[in-house]
Amino acid sequence: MTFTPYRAGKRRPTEQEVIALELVSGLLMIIGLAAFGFLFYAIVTNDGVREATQGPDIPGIGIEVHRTEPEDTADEEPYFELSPIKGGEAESIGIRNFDRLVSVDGVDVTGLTLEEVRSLLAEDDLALSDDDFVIELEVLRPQEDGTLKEETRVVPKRMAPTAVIAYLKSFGFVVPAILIVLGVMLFRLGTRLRLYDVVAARWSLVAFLWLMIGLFIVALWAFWVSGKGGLVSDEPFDFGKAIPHAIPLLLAIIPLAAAYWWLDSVLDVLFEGDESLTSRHTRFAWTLLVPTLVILALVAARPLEQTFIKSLTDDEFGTSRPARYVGLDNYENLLSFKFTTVDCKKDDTGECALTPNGTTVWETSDVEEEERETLKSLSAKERKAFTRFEEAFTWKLPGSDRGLRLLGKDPTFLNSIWNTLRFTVVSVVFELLLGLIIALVVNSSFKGRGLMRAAMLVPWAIPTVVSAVLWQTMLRPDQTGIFNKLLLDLGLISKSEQWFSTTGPWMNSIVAVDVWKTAPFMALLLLAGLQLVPRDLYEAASVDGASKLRQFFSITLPLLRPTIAIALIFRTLDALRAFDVFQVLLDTTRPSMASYNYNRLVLTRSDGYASAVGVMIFIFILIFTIVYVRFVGIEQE
Amino acid sequence: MSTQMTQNTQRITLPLPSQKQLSKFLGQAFFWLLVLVIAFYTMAPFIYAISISFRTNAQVLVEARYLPEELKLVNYQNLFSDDDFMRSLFNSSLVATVTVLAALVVGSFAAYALGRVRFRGRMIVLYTVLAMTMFPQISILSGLFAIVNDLDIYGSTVSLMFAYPIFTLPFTVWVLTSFFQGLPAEIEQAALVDGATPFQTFWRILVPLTAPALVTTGLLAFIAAWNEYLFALTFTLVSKASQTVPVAIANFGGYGYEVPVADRVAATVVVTVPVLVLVLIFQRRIIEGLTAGAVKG
Repeated sequence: MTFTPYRAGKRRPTEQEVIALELVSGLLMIIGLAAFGFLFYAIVTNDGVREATQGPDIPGIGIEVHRTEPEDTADEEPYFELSPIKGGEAESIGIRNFDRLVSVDGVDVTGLTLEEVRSLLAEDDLALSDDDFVIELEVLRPQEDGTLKEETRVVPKRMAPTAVIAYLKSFGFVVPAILIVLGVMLFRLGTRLRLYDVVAARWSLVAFLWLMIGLFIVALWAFWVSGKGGLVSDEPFDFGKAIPHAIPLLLAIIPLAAAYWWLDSVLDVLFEGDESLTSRHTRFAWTLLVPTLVILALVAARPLEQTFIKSLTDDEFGTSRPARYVGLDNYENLLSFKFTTVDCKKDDTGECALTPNGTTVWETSDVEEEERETLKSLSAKERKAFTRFEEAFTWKLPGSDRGLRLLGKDPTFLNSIWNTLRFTVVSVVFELLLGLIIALVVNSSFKGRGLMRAAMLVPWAIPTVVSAVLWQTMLRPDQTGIFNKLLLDLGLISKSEQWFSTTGPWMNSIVAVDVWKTAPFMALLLLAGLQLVPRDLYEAASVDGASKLRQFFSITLPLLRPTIAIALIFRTLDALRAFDVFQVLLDTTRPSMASYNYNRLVLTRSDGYASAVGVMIFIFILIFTIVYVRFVGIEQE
Repeated sequence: MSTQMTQNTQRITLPLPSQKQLSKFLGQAFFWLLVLVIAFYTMAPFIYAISISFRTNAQVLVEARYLPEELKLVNYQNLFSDDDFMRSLFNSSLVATVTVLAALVVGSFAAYALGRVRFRGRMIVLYTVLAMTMFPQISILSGLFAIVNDLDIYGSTVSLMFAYPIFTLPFTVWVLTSFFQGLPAEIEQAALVDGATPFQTFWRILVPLTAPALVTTGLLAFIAAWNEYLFALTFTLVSKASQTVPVAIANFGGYGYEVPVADRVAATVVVTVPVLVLVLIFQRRIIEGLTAGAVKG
């Protein structure tokens, strides 16, 4: 055997060992190629991609039309008889066999040829961009008594999205990229293993180990899914079905285990080469990272990537209309803004007029006037596509009668940014301070501190669905709310406070509710962080005569810094995504970014637009995270 | 002059012991006052919730009372005779326990790699993991739903165990990474000198030392999974048998448009107790971790 390029390990491999090595490296290469094969197969057989490239199975509205000559009476005109294709849109919307076609989208069909009617029904000349996804059909339906009854149906058309969108919606970039990279890596590992490279051999062991664990988990999943039967079934677990599905997967572990065992047993004697400490460390680190990365790739990668992809389309939620690529239009609409100054409305005395609850009344600004003029000059069709700038909010400029007004194409979103940022900054600051105080208190030893640690977690332990309702009850705007009652009984207020109304202190109220709910989270994290501060440092400081306050600022705080940074990151992340408090306690005119996202998705079904809001939230969180990492620091010194 | 001096020294020296006592007493008093204030702040709404839970919805709507009119147990009786609710308690415990154990095991592996080992791509991995949790739940819901459907686990509690790592895992990895970084570097060197493999060092020495962090992240992640609502609502919509506690509570029928506050609050009192017991059991470990370890600089 001279064809194997051989560099000496401790001893020459025997002939069987050469064959075994070929088998093991072959196994790796086959698995690598299988990753490619799997990806290719999945793309080719994917329904969405096939529909986009070859057209839908049932094109258009799914209808066939025949020209029928009346048999008995000579003076009756020939008519067009419809027959819906089974499973098509026309059938599901209620077009029946023998219906006689009268008009298509308002065009009368009498006197047209069969070809002309077919082309009317197919609308082949329409493109995706024409925004026409329905056909209105007027038919005469033969009744049992021989008369004809007029019916009108609006039928949605089944149209395929473009191939690119179809591919991106089903596959995207991340998962194919992972499969390709893993495939290439395993294949290369196989080729390097044949050179008796010790580093490759060690990496192969890692690959085999995780492949085995992965296969075992897949086998468990197959066992459970095939045994449980349908979605909602009371049938007992079907072992007869479950076991045959799991066994092939378990059997596939055997060659992997054999390869692992053999490679491990000859690793030190057959393989050659030195491995640096860094390389060992790197391999060890990646070995430990595999499960986390696999889980996150499986659970999170696709949904996140889809949010990005959808934000570039005009996708609708819960309709069959295909999504179209719209570029950055969604973002443009979200983020367009203008600033202008505006005068306040004067009352009779020449002062700025105030509403009964003390807010200033403003005139219309020049931008709004302009927009109004532009709108007047547009045709009806242009007007539909035109979005005007509207007021988001107005700040009163100090010491003058003028105000600074922010206008946007989507003023509600601009408002939601402003609301969310205010909410985030104030609530996170209070949570940090309060959390720190609580953590320091329960960290010192006193009687009943165990109970105290449980007590401090109560707000965090109450399900959010309930705590919002509980606070709603406690903060009712009249005396049926315990808060108003308490404050009135104590004589602190003279009339009931409207905690959540637009004129009341609504921002303070929801911040207070959120701080109460989440300060325990902060406190518990910081309490754990306090454990990392060595006790002897305090003892030494006490001996040196440093005061408690001094100790806190020069020992506790610096050593707690990484924990504070992480607590801040995760709290800010949650605050910027705040949803429940805004949704339950306020109306939809004062949304947070996340509840605006929800409203757009659920109320107007614009999935594409809502996804763009989601991406904006992501960007905000990213900015905050970078700031924290930069200025607070997560690394220990 | 001299009399003045003696008077002065008397003034300063004589009251000194009592002043020390006084400041110590004041310090103690202030500390206990702080404890009371914190206890009141965190517990008062919960105690008020308990008082609501003894009243009927109609009573809660009409009038706010500090104490209930009488101790009516009707809300609790309804609750314990409700099979769906009792099953949801079991479902929630199962889902939260499995999710947290998985997150702790898998997350501590990753955190050890990210916190103790220097390797290329470390920062990229750290931030990629965090980025996974930066989207609002609502915008990843449809994508996640598609995967759950493809895997054929829709409608079962398994779908939740599958989905929850999206928020428990990044959190666990980040907190534990920071804790592993905080441990002194000598620990591994000593272990390696003694001939331990890297994995033994990790499992036998470092993991026990990070007990405070493990317990803390475990508790916080457990509660997060226990209280999660949106995924649970969406993925168990078709099967009542797999509903978790928040979904079951939100499903309590209302009378007309009013939210049935009293029923929900009673249910909350019931489901919060096991969580608090859990905290009471584990809270000792939060403080014991490092001091129990034999690390001396």
